[in-house]
Amino acid sequence: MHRFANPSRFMRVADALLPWMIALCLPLFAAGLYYGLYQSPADFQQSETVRVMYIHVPTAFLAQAAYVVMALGSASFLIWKHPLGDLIARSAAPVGAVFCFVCLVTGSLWGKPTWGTYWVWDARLTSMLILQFLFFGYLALANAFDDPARGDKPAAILAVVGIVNIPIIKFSVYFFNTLHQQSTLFGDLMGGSGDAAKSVNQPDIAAAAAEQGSALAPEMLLPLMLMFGAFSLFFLILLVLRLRGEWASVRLRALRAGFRPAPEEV
Amino acid sequence: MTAFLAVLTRDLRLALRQSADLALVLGFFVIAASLFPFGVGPSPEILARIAPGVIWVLALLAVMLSLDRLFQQDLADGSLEQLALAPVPLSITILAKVAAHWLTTGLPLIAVAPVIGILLNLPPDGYVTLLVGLALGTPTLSLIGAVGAGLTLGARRAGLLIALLVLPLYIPILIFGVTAVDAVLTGFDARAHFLYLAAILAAAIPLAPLAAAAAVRHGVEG
Amino acid sequence: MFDSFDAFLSMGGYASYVWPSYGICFGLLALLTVQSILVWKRRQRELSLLQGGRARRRDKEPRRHDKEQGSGKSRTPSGEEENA
Repeated sequence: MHRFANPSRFMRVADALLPWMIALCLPLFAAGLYYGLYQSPADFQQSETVRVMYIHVPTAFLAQAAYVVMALGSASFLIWKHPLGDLIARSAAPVGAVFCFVCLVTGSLWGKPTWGTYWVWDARLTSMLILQFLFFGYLALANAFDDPARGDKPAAILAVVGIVNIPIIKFSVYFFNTLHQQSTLFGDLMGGSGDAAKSVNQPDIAAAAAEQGSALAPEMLLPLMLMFGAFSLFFLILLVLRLRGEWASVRLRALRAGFRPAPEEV
Repeated sequence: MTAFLAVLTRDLRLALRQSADLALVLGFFVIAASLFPFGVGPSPEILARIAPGVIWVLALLAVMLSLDRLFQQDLADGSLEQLALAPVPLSITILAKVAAHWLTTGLPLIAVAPVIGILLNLPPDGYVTLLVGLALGTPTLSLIGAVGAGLTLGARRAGLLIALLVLPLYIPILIFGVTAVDAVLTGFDARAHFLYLAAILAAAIPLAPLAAAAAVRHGVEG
Repeated sequence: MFDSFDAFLSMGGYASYVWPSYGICFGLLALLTVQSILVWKRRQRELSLLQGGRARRRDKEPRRHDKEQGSGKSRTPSGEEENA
């Protein structure tokens, strides 16, 4: 495993894989969009709005996956001092932030027709919002130093502190939601009691079930899976593209540092 | 232990000599709280409803505003470097600094909180819960804040950056603290909330100084 | 499955929710891709300028000390060309 911690070896492998990933990703997107936007049926209750799910759910998953990738990269950078870990974390952060933002925006555009409001302080929405803040914090900290290399360790520590806190944040947000009864609308989503579900009107249960992907018809599952694959590959493609940029800037810094004339030569 | 006490008394003495800083934090706490009746109207019911949340949010912000005191001056005069080089583990030193920070920020806030409770018409049943919650929660705020303060050492616009890093991590404390008061006011028991707050504090006491020490060491070297 | 192209566009009356979702999603992802590629290309160009400068000097100046010095000087002009 440590063999691939050498960034230039890793980049060679990644560069070799990149065309294959693109070649696989594009048809998946095409098929996913065709089935998702055209070939799949409208939902019994949510009508055509259910099509937002095919981008909302994969982006939600990938935003969280990106944070995990970022934290794992940061941890390997802190533990083994693998420079590659830092590069991966730096590359994953903006990608994750964009996926998280897309997830939030599509979620609220989906929420307006199905729930009647753009935003509720539902546990999942809230924890996604906090995840977005954590991404912003990481990006701000990683770029807050005049010498970019100086930000690597603080940002890595923040990513690790963040992932330790995520379970606590998630738990507290769910806790907040079950106590503040104004949002019982989504009680069933939070694994709440049957009492909470009573106050839920029927379309919301359908929305909840569809969002959880539990009772999903096969015609809807197919485009969802296609889009999952396409977005995951797209995430990897973006990761490689950003890694190239980060790796180039590391080499650039090394070259410039090497070129600086020693004081006695000036 | 002697080193812990030495750092603690040093920081306390420094903080008390600059008691204007302390007064500023408390002044912020009270003035910001007295803005809310102007914002939401003087209706006692509304004020009573939002009082626990307002007190907690302001306590959070007050702690956050005082975080730069934790390391910034010591970094400027070089004593932070000395502390990092000392044979005592840096995390112990940081724990002592955090304790001093809490004694000079969290504790005064707890003392002032009942006054704000009166200003905002907090129902009488809520006071004890509010204070116990603050007593269990504010040390965690200082501990997590120390990580943020350590990470932003030497960064541009460190003050704003700290807010961005630390506030999302404060959310669980805020939730448990506020819902504890709400629970008591609606006739429930706040025991579970206190246990969660205590559990987070118990986890933060060993972990946060470790993370902060790693951050400070890097900040001092860089 | 839609009866007509118009029906497809109107998305059962929810066009103003469905299409912006897809638009924002792919628009932002496209922007991110373009930005990632641009950053990489720019860094790559700077890198090849720097490395090119060193390689040229290496051919002319055989001695190591001179070579280092020479390339140190050649950095500034090439950097200026980059900006112009």
